[in-house]
Amino acid sequence: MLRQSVMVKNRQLASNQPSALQGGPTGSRRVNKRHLSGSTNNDIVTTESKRGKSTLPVVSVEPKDPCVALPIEIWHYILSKLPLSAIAKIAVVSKTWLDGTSPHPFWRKACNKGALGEPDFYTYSDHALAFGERPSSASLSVCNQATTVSPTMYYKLNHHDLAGVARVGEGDRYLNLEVERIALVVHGGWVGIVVALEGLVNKRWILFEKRDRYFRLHRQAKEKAIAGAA
Amino acid sequence: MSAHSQILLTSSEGTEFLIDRDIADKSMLLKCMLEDIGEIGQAVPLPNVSGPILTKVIEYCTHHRDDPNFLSANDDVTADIDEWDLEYCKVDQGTLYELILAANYLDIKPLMDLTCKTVANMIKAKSPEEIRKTFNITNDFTPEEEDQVRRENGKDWVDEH
Repeated sequence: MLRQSVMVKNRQLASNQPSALQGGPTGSRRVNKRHLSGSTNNDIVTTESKRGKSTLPVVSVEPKDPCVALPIEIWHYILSKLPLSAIAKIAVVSKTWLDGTSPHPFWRKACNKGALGEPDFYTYSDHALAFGERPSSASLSVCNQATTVSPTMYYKLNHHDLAGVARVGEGDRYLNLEVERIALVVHGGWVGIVVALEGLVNKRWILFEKRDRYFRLHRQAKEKAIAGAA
Repeated sequence: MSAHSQILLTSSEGTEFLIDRDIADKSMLLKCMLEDIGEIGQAVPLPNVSGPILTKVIEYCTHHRDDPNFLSANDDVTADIDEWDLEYCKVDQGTLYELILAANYLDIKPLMDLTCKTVANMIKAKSPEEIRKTFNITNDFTPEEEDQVRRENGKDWVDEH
């Protein structure tokens, strides 16, 4: 709620100002951007010795597009502070924003957030890796649609991610299927979105079960080997 | 080097700022520079940072002067911003972006995180239309194009809010 109030304040601040202070025209945005991010203003002429307080900033108080005003690496840094599902949403804001959400290095990094791209073991599919934070040897959840789960602990989701998902019964319980779908998108990024859209969640369950079986067999074989050696 | 030594900085328009060494050390750029070449007794020119922005940056570093957790990076995206920092970021967008650029240039990671998080919070939990309003952005998609992007990015997710 605090955040909301900050935003409202900012907006009020902006709208209260006379529009005469508006910066350049909205055209040639990228040029504008380069001008801002580009360095130097080397003509240091005055050396008035002012210490401490200085005059007010002479900058436009009109709202400005951060994607245009900031260098792309900084824009990506800002995006990295957002949940991946939010990044998917903002691509429709404008063409520049669509651009700013798509470069490969960013997505690779974003997907690494869910440990995608670096499979440690037994890679059947990309989506199976969406839960990369889970140790690969952990037993997998029983993927029953009807079971309810508390998403915050096991799936590391917060309530912002779960906005709009219906709760089941009292307390912090949601349908497993819904939560897994959202967890895929939040932790799995692009891959997760594709998976959720194409209805591949069921397929992933099958893959997970296969993987689970594999781990069990693997463990048994290991235990046998140890017993045999002893 | 005494604990009370001071450093002279010059902003882009030539305004001079005399600050304590431990405050200058919050900036990795200045810290490394001062360690490498020692204190030369001359002003350090910062051609990328304007006076008003430098004042703001110094205000931040001074407030967090004795903060023991200053550099223990807090990457928790959902962590709340503390009250003073929240108040500090209540500036117009232009100033906020200049602060980001200055934090990036001077390499002050906590300030960079704080300011970037502030922008992220302005984007978070908003519909595309609300985002356009917040930042005064013109929608330059034709309806068909917008529809296609929505389809590609997953209509469900785009329309969630």
